[in-house]
Amino acid sequence: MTSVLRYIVSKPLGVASIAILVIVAFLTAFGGALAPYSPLAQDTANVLAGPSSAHWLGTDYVGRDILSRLLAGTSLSVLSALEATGIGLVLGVLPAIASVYSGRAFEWASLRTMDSFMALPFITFAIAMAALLGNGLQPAMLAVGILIAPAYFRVTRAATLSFNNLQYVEAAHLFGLPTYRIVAVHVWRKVVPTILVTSGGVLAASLLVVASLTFLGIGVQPPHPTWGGMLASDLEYLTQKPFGPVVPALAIMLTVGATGILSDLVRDSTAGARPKRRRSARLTATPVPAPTAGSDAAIVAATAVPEKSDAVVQIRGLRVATDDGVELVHGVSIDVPRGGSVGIVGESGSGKTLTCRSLLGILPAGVEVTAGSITYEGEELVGATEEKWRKLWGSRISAVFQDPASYLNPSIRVGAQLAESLRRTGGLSKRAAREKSIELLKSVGLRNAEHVARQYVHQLSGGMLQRVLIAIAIGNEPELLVADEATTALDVTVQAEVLDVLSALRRERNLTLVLVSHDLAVIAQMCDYLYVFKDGDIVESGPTSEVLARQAHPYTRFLVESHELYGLEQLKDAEQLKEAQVQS
Amino acid sequence: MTTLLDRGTGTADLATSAPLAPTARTAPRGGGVVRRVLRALVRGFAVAVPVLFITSFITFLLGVFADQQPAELLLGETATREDVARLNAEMGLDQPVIVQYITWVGNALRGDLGTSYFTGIPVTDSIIQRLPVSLSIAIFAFLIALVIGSLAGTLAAVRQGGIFDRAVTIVSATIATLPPFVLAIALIVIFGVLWPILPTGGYVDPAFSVSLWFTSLILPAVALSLDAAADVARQLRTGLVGTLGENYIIGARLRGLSGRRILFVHALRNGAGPAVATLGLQVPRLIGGAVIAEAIFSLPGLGQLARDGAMRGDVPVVIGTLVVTVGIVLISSLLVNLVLAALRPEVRR
Repeated sequence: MTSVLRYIVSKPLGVASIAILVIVAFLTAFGGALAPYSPLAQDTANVLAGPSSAHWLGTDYVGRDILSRLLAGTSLSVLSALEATGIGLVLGVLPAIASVYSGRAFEWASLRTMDSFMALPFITFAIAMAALLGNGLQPAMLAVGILIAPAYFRVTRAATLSFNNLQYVEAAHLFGLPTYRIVAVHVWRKVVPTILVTSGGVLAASLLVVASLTFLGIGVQPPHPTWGGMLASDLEYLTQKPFGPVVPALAIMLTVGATGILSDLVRDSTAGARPKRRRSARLTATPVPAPTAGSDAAIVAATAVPEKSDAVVQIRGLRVATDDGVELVHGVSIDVPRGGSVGIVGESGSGKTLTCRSLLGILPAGVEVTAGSITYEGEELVGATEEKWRKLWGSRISAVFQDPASYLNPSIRVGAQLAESLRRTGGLSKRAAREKSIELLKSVGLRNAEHVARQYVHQLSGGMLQRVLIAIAIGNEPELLVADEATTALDVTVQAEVLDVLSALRRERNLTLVLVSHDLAVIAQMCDYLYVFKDGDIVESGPTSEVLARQAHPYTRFLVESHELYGLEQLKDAEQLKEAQVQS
Repeated sequence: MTTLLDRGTGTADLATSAPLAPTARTAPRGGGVVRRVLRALVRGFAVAVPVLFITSFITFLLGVFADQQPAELLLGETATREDVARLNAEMGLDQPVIVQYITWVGNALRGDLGTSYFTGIPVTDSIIQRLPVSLSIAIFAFLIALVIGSLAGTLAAVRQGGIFDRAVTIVSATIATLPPFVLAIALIVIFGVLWPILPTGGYVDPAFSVSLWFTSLILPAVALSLDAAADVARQLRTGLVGTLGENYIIGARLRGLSGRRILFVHALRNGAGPAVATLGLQVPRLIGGAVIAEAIFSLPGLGQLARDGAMRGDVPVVIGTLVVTVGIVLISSLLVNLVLAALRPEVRR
């Protein structure tokens, strides 16, 4: 609770809101007594007067002191709104908890009833209640309370339901605790904060409804001072005093605004500290000095650079840093030969994905290339405009990623997304695009291509989705395909199949491949060249076989050794050994 | 008032909170747009019919509890007890409540909502006469909210963090704290008193003059729409910002699609859900708010009919207008759910 208060006080708006609400609360209690005049006293010599020393806020159409009416009107507005909120709380919270615990019939009935309340227009219903049940503000407040109940019902029910599945509540059920005790002890504690936050919004809404009703003259007779009633009478004399409505309007606005802001702040503070940026929270950055000319890495990198002429992509001294100055990639250089396959291996956070994303022009917000160059067919890509990128994307450079489901639009059939890319980027006709998409889906090993094309993302497995994405990626015949952990999330057998598809595509289409993985086995199997990333630096690079044979850097050695220790080959060898022993 | 209520309850559950949101947790299914919409239609009716019965019963009970004695009111003080009893029997008021209700439902289904205690005019006639006024304002306000809200929300999301984005946030937060009639009064002061270019009261039948009808609706509709527009803008901005950060947007960019196509085909379809649901929730508020707009701009609409009826204790009028209003709300919510179903096949409730 103190942490909530501290959070609110740390915000200027929070302090202002609390100050306003304290004043309003004070006026609710003592406003009538503080008023300099009686709210009904008429100063007929000063009708519709502006502010003066006698009447600080001026007078109304029969010469009543506006400040006095404002002060005297506070308690009615606030207390009525509190009453409606209280009624809504009782009528919403109790049925909500009951709807979770007392059987389907009650659940159905309460849900339908709450739906019905939501369909009733507030003001119309309140007017009807006020008029039919005797003229006064109480029935109207009952009506407002009833109509506000669904707001409480919804949040309480949601909170109770979500909480009900928690293990310690299930455990309480198993221990045979009676339902009412579980509700009283456990559920209540969880639901109370939700109710508190909701109450702020509901109270603000109630204040507005009370103002609207008193404005319409419902429930309160004219000479009695109310904020809404003052507005209504000011409206009558607009031509004489155009700014008359400002005073009561401000009173309503400030009270409502302060209540709303306060409830927002309470919610924000209880929602817990959300990470500011998804990316930077995940990336662990350890500042590592850039490789000097004499270091292992630099030497190895220099020897491994293939001939300039046949490099499709050249990355030179690429540095990537966050906006707040933490460098994540410390000047890496990579060459991708035409038609070749380059593997990038390293653990998560080693900078391999950021390097890849720089090459693709899709660095996340808050992360930037700070130095170095990336050229594609001799064209500089660092700092390229969106238009320039759009000419490359899809048709020349393409990519697939780790979580295929998230890279497809959930509301559009996968076949339509493939055809869209063929039509919009490849310029095919509608019909040609449809035919080619089926052909492409078949070429990535999807047997029932027509059927798959008609499916939505949630209807396909991860392996099938990755094949679809590969089909989309190669659809417009790009030269370069970047596969960033494209098989990581797949089952081992599916992974092997997808890798086979990639190898076949490389052979058939002369595709240049950049494969990023934390799995050395995958890279070793697929790639001619290998770059080993660690902490934002390339620690070793060269032709795959050489790097694996040499293992010059301790990290490479570590990677290879882990494979030897835990890899399947190790087990297989052990099995054979055992068999051999048994036979002998 | 809308925004404050929603803020308190969070926005994520908006899609589930529209009055007609189906409660069954259906497994995601495929099927064409037509089949999805039909399914939503059937589900919507399955929910709407009980809701209509419950609300009409509640309002009917209200009328009974109102303890008005229409026979005494109509016959005056000189009436004998026998006269009162005879008239009560004639009007069916001596029957048990449930019988009265069933009779009323039977008549209502045939389009007969009873007659006013005071004027003797059939309630259905009064409603038909006033419906165009309220519908004009509500539909006009709805369209303004839709257009302004969508434009502001989309631009704010696309230029996230920019000046326009911040302006939209501040303006919509301010509007949320303003009672609707304060905006109406401000509009009257500006366009009726300080710079008198628009009519500030009265209704003109479009059969008489379409242009006058149009100008007579501008101020009430704008006053009524701003709250909804602010809410739609806020929801759309939030939804779009979330969607634009999704991987499939990166995917679409990497396929070489144009920015416009990504926004309109890929982002809006998924990001507009909360905003569409908000529009559904706004309908009862627009219709309820129309009462106030009608009072301020002296327009002879349904709201005024209900208010006048309620002031006099004219039970059939009040019940009739309430039920018709609820019917309109339910139909609008149904339409919103159909739009949602057409937009998002995988929508889970």
